[in-house]
Amino acid sequence: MARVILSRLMKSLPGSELAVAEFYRFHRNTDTISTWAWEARDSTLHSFLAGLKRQFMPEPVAVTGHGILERIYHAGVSFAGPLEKLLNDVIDPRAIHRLMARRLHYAAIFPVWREAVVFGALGVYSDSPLGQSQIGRLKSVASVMEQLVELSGNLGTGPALAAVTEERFRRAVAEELHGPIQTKLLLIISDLRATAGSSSAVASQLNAAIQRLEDLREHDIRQLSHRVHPGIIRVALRPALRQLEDEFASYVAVHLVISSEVAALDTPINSELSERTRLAIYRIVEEAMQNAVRHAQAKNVRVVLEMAEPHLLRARVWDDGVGFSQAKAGLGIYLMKSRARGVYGRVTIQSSPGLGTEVQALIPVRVRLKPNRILSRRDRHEWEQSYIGDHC
Amino acid sequence: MAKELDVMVVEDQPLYRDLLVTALKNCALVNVVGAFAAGAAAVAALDTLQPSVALVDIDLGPGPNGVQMGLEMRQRYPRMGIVLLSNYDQPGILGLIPRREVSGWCYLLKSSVSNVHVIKRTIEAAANGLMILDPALVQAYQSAPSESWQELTRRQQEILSLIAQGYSNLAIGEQLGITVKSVENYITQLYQVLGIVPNQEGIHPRVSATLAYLKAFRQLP
Repeated sequence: MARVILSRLMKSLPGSELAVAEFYRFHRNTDTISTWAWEARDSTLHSFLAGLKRQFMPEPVAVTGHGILERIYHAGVSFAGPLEKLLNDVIDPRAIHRLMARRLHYAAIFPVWREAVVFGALGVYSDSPLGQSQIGRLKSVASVMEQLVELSGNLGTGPALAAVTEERFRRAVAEELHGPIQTKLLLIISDLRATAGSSSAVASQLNAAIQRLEDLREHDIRQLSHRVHPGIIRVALRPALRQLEDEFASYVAVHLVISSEVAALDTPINSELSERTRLAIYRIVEEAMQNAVRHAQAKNVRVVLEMAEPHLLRARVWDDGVGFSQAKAGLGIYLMKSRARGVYGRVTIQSSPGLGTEVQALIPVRVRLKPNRILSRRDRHEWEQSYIGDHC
Repeated sequence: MAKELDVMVVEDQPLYRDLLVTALKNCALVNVVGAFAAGAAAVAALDTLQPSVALVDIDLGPGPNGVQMGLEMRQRYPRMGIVLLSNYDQPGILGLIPRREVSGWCYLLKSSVSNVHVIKRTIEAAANGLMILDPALVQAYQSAPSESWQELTRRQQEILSLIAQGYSNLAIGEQLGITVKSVENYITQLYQVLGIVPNQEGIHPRVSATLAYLKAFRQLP
């Protein structure tokens, strides 16, 4: 939907030829940015921009240091003017230089609001200056975006919603298996034991039955419950991953490594990893391991969790199997990417014959930023003075 | 220790809660002062009831889990024993609690509700600031030992298992058919091998030993 709006926008503005239009989305719980949708005027520009993004803005990316985007995020300011003006504003001006080399000299970037909070931004980059009426048009597109956001609600659409719904069902099933059913079996076993104790005639038969019930309760049902939903993940991520390691140990040699930085985040109280994030990481690792065993005939699996950046957790699952075949693993790949997207992260997969397969997930995690890191660079008031209403 | 221990139960499933309270009533010297379905009500009642030990299900449904409730209770009453109840075999979560604070936390499988000896021993251990594990778990681990476990002598392994289950030196002696003095000697040796310095950082060496046991079976997170 967002892309449709953007392509309409590009076709409809009279006068200048808009080259690129993007919607950025801000993630308040992690202080990061990702691109929601973008459109380029033609296919060469499209490839150029895709390359630029890969190089300078692999997502999700920290807000800090992104100049105008940072200020929109914190103060809801806007910008319209020559791209040159932003050169000294950002930590890494190379992307801006590259845009300018392609004759994209002008930019206009506006906040997209939702309930008094800046939710995202609309950015357009053009090779000619934008007039007042065009700016006005862009502002109304931004407000259309606001209404779209309003309609789609908190959960977003498609994959994220499906994942949440599925987890809710899984949790309900696991709780039932883990709770009431276990207790009822305990009671049955207890009653049978009492009966076996009081009557030696049938004791041996009863004991055999009791043993089978015990096995059912202790192994089958408990394991099923774990596979449906790892209840312990409500407490922390690491024990759940250990459990996964144990589960797979009979199929492959598993080596699980969790860095001390990640361990420091995974605390039972005040965890920096939300339950949703923990579950997403768990499911991605689980899926990758399942693919390794089921489709790739792997003998060894290595799972590593570490911080790629202070706010970005990297989970890697490497296996020595024969790699992904699209036909068999297509759904698995889709599910992993979908899980990652649901928590604003992303998954990439690299597979080469002889070298095995590596699934890498980058997931933003909430890490409290130092309080004055941003404001010390510029006074917020000064920003607003220089940039608001600055139309070319 | 002939003093009665006041215990509190926090368990969201009514069926299990009743089962547990009934089992506790069959324990001599254990007095159930309250049974709650959720952590909040239990924490609110702490000042009135002043239990020595709380038995808390890890999984309390929506809202804070048992570990969080235990940590909150211990903030108010640092010497209170917490027995975590679970159907998960994840005693490694004890490793998530800061080492200096883990004394007095114990781990019990829900299925042990029918075993009065185990319940009693666990409650006593929690009240005395020890950290012990459900014996059923210990039995399950024996079948999959790690390399570091195999570095211990047979005797040392036996004794460490029993320490992890909360057996006193006297009880260990009875179990293995040796004198208490022998047990004490073996334990001194064991601590040396494990690198445990008695009362280092104010942590009871038996707690350090149980943590070492968990580590040996790769159960720590």
